[in-house]
Amino acid sequence: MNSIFLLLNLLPILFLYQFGGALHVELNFTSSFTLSLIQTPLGTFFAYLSMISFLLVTIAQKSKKFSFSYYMLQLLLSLAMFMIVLAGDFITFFIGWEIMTWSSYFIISKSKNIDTKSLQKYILFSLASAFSLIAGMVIAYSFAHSFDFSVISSAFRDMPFNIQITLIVLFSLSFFTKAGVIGLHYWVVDTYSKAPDLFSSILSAVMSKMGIYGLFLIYGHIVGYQELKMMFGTILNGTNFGYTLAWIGVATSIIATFKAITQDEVKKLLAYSSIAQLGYIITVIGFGTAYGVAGAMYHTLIHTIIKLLLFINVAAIVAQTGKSKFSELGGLIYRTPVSFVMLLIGIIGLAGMPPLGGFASKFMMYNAAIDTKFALILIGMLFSGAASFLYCYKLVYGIYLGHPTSKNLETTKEVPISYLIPQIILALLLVLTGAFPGAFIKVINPVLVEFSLSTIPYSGLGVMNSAVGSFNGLFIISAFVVFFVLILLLITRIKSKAKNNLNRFDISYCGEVPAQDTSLHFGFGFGADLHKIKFANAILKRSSSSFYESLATQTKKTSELFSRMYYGNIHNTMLIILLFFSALFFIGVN
Amino acid sequence: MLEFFNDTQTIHFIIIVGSMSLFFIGFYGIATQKNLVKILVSFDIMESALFLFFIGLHYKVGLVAPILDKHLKTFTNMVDPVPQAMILTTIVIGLAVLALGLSFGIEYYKLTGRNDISKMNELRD
Amino acid sequence: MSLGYYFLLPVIFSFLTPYFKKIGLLRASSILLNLLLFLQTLVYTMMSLPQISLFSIKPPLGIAFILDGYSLLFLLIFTFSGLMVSLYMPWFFKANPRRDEARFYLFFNMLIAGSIGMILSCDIFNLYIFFEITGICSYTLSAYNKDKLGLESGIKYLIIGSIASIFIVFAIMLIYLQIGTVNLGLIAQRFHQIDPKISVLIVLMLFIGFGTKAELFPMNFWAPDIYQGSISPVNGLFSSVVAKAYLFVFFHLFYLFGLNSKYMLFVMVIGAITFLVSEFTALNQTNVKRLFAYSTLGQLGILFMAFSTNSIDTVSGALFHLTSHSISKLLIFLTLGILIHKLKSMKIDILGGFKSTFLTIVLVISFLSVLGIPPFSGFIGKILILKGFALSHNYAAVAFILLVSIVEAIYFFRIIAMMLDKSRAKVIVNVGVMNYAILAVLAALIVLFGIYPSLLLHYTDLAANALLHPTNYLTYALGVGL
Repeated sequence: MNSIFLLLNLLPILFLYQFGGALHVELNFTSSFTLSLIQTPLGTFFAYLSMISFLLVTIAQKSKKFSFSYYMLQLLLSLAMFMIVLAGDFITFFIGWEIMTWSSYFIISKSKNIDTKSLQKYILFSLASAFSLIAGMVIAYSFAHSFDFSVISSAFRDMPFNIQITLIVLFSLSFFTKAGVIGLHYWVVDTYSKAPDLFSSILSAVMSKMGIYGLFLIYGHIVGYQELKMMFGTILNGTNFGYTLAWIGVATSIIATFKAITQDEVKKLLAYSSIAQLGYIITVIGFGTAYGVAGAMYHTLIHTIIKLLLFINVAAIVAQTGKSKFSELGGLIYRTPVSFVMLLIGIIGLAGMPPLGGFASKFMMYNAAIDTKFALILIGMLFSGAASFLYCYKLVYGIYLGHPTSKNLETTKEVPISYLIPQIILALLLVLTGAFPGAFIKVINPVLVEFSLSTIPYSGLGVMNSAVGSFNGLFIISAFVVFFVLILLLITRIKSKAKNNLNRFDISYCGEVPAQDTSLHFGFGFGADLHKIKFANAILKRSSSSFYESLATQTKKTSELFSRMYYGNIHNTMLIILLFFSALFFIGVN
Repeated sequence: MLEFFNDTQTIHFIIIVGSMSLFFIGFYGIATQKNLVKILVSFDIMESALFLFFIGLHYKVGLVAPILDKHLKTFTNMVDPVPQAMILTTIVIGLAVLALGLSFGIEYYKLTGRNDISKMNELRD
Repeated sequence: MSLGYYFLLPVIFSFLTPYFKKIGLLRASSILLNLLLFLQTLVYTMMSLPQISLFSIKPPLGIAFILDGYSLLFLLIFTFSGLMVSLYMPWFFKANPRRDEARFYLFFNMLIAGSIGMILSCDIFNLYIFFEITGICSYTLSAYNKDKLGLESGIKYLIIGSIASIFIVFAIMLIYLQIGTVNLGLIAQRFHQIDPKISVLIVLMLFIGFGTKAELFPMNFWAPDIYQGSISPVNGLFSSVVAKAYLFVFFHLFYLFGLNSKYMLFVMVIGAITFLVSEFTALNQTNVKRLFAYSTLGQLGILFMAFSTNSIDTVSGALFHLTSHSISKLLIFLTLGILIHKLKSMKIDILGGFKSTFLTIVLVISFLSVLGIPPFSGFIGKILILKGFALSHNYAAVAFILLVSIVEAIYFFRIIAMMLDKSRAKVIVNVGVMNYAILAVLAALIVLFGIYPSLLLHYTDLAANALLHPTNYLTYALGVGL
């Protein structure tokens, strides 16, 4: 079954490849709506991104038995996303968006750890996002008399200013919810951590990107960056609009980074890290400069690769050990060395260190901030970038280093090969994006043309140009590999003398004898002291949950209040009808 | 002495006052009574008031009933027959509903021993 | 072929019901009857509209049935629902054996006849008679279970129905006193001649009369009780036929009498309040029938909002939404009948306590459709309604509908989560071949109208045109050129 669905997942890619950028289908849905699929450079980029991700995750799914309905829903989800990114009008977009919502809902509901509350959170936020989208699109329709993107785009500048603002806010809210901007991220962590392990990778790597695609669509295509500049005016070298958006993004990334460090569950950490990384993208997406857009797109690519890699890695570990918390894991480096290397490559990318692709994208984004002279934004980005080192370290230390905390971790075997294949592919991609960042400029320039921004000069595959400077990824990575091989040789010389299969009780424990269930690994406590820092504590103790919970309580109370009316006896009902009539009569006659 | 009753206006006035007071008697019954039978009776009183009102307002002095006999050879000089037909139909319907209501009431009384409509509240969540 | 058969056939059948000695024959002939009516309606879809059938004298003096685009859509819904319910009943009576099965068939067919009569008749007094026939049949059907709950619901429905009918009789009498006619065409022509104060009184009485039956807030406190006390197929009929018939009459008169400019905002606000209150109340329910009763009330609220807008697009969307809602609610209540029988409870837990992939799928489809989520038929209706509101720059209504829809989503998805929850104890439910077919057809229609809406939109556009521009209807109702 897996191989059949693997082939089915391949079909959209072939389909897209065959059309080679000229896909244009129109279908009369009703007399007033037309469904249309149009291939734009931006949509093509996101289409390939999501389709290849689905393919890789399907490969990893070979290792476990999934039901037919699971595969069907996943296929439906991938087709829905295909529809979203290639949609040429809002109706197609919305149909894809909603099919995405419910098919992912049903996949999430198949998880073992899921509970009703998390499911409700997920679906209600998704629907709120969809409804805000639908509100935006019908308001746009009332002015443009069409749902077509290009028609709405040309009608946009003739709309009244308050309608323009309303549209931008409604669409942004919808896509912010999907991307998990802070305040609207209430559903993200629970959903990512409780979804089926492999599906979390899709949620984080692909589905949240649909929010980013939506933002690009709105800011770049429908409203247009030039129009945004005219509407809101400029500040420093960027726009006022971009500056506001950048603060939202920076706040998201800083807060989520701190939250990530203190998590005990591996997938929760990854979920917060996902929020933080999307925060970066949102920071630069509104700059309205070529480098801002390029940085956002590059980071979209890199984040997709990294999150797929990390979530598949973690899913493999969870499947292999049955443990999903830092406090229960540890010391797996000798048992699952290949996984360890993959995770290491992943976190190097996540932390944005050279020589991998993560560095290239961060370089692009920081340069975009320097270019627009948003110094405070840059400081914020650097700050959260530095803080993200901490959770990256926690990830590798908590799972692979230190002492194993329980007995069966000592007998764990390397994860199945089907988990490793996609990881290796992704790791290679990460290396390639680091080595040939210039190749991406070729992908990005058509998009910049589409958004009518200036293009980025291209000077060789290995060279990444930016407004402030450039670097040669190929050179860095070659140098790095040389040093890495040297050091690796050195280490293997030393390590060969050490015993690598120690008993987990082979430690000095201050005279006490540790019991079987004593945790010998302190990696999980990492980050607990963060509370002692005043600034970090202020962030950590606040949470949006109290707001949403009070909202839920209010709804429940209103509901109880209303339902009390319906317990009236029939006599009262009669009287109410008569009184209502008399009241209306007196109002009507006078 | 009863001459002034031969005036259409007066008759209409009396009919309006009479039927309205009948209507409000029924209304009072609905508003205050809780016995199912009394409620049904009140409905019937209200309906009768409406019938009286409607028929009465279509009567004018000097007109005869729309029945072909020695008083009525041609279709002139008679009251409008449509209201009478309508009222006859409505009376039948009212009777059917009343009978149905009473039969429900009897069955319900047999089962529970109650006929107070304000205490019928077993249908609830 | 005459429109009169829509009324005559069921009535003759009902009178013959006691003479059927074999119960199987009764069931089969009831199915046949409803099939005939449905086929006749399908034939009418191919004919030019409006169609008129006279009874001896031509209007405006005589009685006539008129079928225009507006009533055609409702006729399709009613006869289709009747067919589905009569196909469902043999299973229901096999599962819940009754000695007085004939009584059900008698009133069931009369109910269909009465509802159809209400939408076809072109004079207001006949309309009232059909209104009462429908009423009496629904009182009896809701008291069909002659237990405490059934009788209580029957009595409640009867009392409310009596109040409504007093208002309507009063209104008809006032109209006759003022204009001297009961023909809808003539009333429509002369309605503006009535003294404004009397006209307000007439409109209010009609509003209270039909609004009470059409379950508008604040006249709908009785409705959930009725749903709770009656059997599931009857719930389906109430939700997809009876309530819709009253809604039909409400807006037929609303537009014929030209009240749309003056009372539009009022009806819209009442519809909005109905929607709001019902959806919030539904959140708090633990009885399945009450829950879906409130959901029906809420959807009626949206329909009232959308119908009163006086724009063809919105009304066409509302008619689409009405059709898809009728199909969904019929599906839901018929499924509830199966579940209540198998699990012997009416608590909401039964929706999490059954194990049947088929039932789960069809229920989920109908829930998503009610919520207006693509690619199901509810979406088309909802987007058309929202588009219509936006086009008339009524953004408050758009925001309101969307916000309350989230509340609606809370309880629908709570139920879906219950159905998907594997940790609950599950009872395996065998559906039976016939029910498979019925539910599959209903679910297939929901999907079909969702992905190929033009099929239904043709009829809703026709209906919206006929409702908002009743020129053709008026010519026929006045008997011009017959």
